[in-house]
Amino acid sequence: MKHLKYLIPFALVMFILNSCDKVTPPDGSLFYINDTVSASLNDTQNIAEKKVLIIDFTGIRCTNCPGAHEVLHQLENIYPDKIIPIAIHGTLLAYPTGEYITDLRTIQGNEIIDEFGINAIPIGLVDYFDKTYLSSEATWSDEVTTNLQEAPLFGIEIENTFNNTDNSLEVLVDLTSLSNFEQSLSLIVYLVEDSIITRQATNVSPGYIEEYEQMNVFRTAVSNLWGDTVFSEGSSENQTDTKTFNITLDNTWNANNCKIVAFICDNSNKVLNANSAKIK
Amino acid sequence: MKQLVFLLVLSFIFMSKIYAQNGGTVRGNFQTTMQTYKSDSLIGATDAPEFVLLNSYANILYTNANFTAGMRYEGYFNTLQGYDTKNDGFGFPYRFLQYSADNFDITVGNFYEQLGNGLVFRTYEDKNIGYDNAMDGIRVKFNPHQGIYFTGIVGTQRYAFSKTDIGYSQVQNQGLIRAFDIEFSPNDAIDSLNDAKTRISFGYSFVSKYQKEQSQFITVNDTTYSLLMPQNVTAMSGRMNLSTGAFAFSGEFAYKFNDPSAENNYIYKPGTATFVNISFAKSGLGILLSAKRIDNFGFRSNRTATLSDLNINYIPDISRNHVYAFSAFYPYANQNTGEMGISSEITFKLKKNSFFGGKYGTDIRLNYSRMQDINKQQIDPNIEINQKGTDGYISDFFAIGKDIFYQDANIQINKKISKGFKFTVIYQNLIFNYGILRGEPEMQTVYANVGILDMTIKLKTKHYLRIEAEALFSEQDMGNWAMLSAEYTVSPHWFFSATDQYNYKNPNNQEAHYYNAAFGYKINATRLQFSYGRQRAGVVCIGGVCRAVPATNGFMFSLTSCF
Amino acid sequence: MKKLFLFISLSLIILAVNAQVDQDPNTNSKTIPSIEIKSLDGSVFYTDSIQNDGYPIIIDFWATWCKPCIKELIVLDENYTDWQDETNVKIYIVSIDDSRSMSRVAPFVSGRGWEFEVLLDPNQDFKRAMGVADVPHTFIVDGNGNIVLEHTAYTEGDEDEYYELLLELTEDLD
Repeated sequence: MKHLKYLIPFALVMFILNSCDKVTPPDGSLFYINDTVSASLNDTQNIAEKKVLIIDFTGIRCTNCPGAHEVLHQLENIYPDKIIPIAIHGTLLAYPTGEYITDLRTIQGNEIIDEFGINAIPIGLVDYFDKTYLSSEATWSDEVTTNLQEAPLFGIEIENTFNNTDNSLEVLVDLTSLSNFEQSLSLIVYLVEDSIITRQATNVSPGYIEEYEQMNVFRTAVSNLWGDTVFSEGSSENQTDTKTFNITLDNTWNANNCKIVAFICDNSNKVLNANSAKIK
Repeated sequence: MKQLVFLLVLSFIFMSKIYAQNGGTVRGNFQTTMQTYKSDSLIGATDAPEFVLLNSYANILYTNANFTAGMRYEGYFNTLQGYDTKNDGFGFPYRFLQYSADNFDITVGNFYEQLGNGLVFRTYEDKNIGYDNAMDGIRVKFNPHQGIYFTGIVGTQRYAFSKTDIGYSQVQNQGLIRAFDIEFSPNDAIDSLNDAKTRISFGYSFVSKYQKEQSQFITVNDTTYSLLMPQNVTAMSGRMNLSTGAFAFSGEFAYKFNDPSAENNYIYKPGTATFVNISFAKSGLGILLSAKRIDNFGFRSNRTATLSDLNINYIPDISRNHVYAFSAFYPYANQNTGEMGISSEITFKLKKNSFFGGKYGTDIRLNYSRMQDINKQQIDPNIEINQKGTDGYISDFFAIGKDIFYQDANIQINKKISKGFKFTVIYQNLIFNYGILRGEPEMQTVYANVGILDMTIKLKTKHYLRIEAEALFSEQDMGNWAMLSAEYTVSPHWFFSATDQYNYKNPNNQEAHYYNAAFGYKINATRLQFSYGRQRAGVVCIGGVCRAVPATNGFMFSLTSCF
Repeated sequence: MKKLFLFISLSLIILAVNAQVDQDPNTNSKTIPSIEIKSLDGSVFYTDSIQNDGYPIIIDFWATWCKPCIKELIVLDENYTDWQDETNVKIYIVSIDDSRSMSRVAPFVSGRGWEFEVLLDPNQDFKRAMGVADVPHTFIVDGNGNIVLEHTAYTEGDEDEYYELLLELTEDLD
């Protein structure tokens, strides 16, 4: 017992000396960065490549939302063509009031927001379509890095045929199974529009940006909002399934900036793969 | 699995019941709150698809000689509006076993602990603000000699519920916390000082968190880089308490090494926290002076956590915690990234049978507090203040920043006139930086004056009437408010109340009455309350930690029972 | 539905155990556990040393930011001298103020001239050990250290209930 008295302080001292990492920036830099960009992926030039879906819940009056857009933008820079974002505008902070006049909310978007119980934004989902996995933008880059390492289980090809005269669009989604998979899956197809200019609140002075470019704005579901069943009997390697959807675009949407986003989920609402294609 | 846990708990309750008759004791409590929601566009209240929402808790604690075991059931069916919906579901997020011997105390499982003032480590729960950052791990307390206390802690922290079988688990990539604390009190340790008039004690705390590296990117000159991430982050603090006669001094200083996190925008500046109290107390007069300065001192077990999630430490708020509806209308919220301020409070009693004191004496309480930003300078002309991936800023310890966050000057008088009549009067003048404290930079700073009169009248034995009149005047935010409330109590079991809060001269022309009626019944340690009406949107803060309360309209029922 | 069933059954069981505890005279001998908290001058205080030479004790959990608690303590203070003369009662008030307001307790108590025994429970260990959910929460302990009354919340006039019980407890003593 007497020795214990001396052992404890000794153990504590050892503990102090061994439990702190102090990092320093590279010579001549004020930034604490790794000199090399670490976007190395085991790129297996397959028929299909794994892409990651990010659903970003956002709003024009949400001051912290541009920060989340910035994270998305950085991820798109690091992993070009691998990130498939969808921005769903909703909650009280998307409600137009005062000088914020553009309403980017949709009835279907609100349905998703209610179902997922979202009351604080920005928040998002990375490769999941389930409220349990809602995460803040701070963790997105980590989740993306992890999910991009996964092997693509399904290939998704989108073919859009747009008719300028009557604004009608035919969407053909071709799915290819790359392994044997026992579950049936759901295919979810949405239409999003880029480059919508609105006023946006920010957390830096003066508190707003008058002409802010909103990207990937959710406009409508092309499939059922919660998805259509595909591969209903499960799938074997190289089996394919095709779905065709027809919709008419709203006159207020700019067809040149519209994209179709398609993703497939398993029973636990994990997104197995995603893809997007411009409509023209 | 859930059934298994449920059976375990049942057997635990009954076993403890049986053992209880062999000398051990069982204690605990049960709380539940239910609310219905109706949409009400005038006040911005929304309905709930579930119609009724419910939060409930049950604590059970069994003690037998040196052995203690306890657990808490929590059920959210589904979570009440304004609380974190991550909690939806139920389970036993808190359970522990504890053994205490003469100079040892070992706890395994969940526990709450505070080292010093909590500047580097504090876990606690407060259901009113939906806060619970309980540790899950091991705690050992060791007391080798009178007046010398060691505490050692290792474990992870609670983060809502997740979909696992026991209804509780850790987040992906959870941080690990290791901590120890030493406290030395010479008055207890050295016999000749036992009864000295001057008492002194010292303490030192050390906390280290480990979290594996996570990728974070920044773009410099159009090239994207990943940031260097310290995996182990250390914070430490030293403290001293000194009291002599009526005077007492307590101070704590804490330092934290580089800790880039979502909260501080991934800057690498070391953090500091300073907290000082000086008080004077003798019968009939109490004086308190407090000061604090916080510089980049958010400390969380997950570097991506925000809001009130996964805090390891606790920054005490020195402003007065108000209890009346309008004096607490604009409560202060701690700014972990940087704040400095002072607070002073004088409490005194005018003697009985004196000219000013009257027959029963008069209690007077004066309070002033002010919080400002700390001074922040650029580290380099090309780098903005708080730029991600850099040292962020340079701050002079004693220089005061330009933004006022909060100022509160108030006086409270309590006076008893006769056996059947007493009252409390409060006047408050407030400056509230809405933009910063609520995170909405477009909002104007609020200047408000508040007056409160609270009267208690004894009608006859066991029958009391309490009338509360309050007013808040402001040209900003929601404009002016007036409130009248009447509460009738029949001791010891019943109370009935009716309240109306009226919002007028609202700059957005959204004038509204917020009426509410309630009654309650209590017997011994059980209390029921039932109310109906509107509740205004606002913020509830306890100790500077805040929860946003949405506007609601509906019935509420609550039950609390202790056993 | 299953959740609801589970919840209801659990609440019923808890209430049943509760009721049983109340009715069973054997377990009515609840006493004060020994918990390490602090006295007003910062020294360590063990709660099993709460005693009053065979006379009754009132233990009141409170906080400086709790409105009904202050109301209750003001009333107890007004009656303390009279009650002491008649029943020798001793009142302990246990503050659950955390580090934010803990240093406020001493000036608060002396400024009002209160003469209670003041204890500090900033980590709420004693509060949990006594099964207290919310403050104010009052216990009355008889001369043998058994808890004879638990009372939660405070409304005007509740002190009469304490006073009647104190008289009852001391009747047999004198």
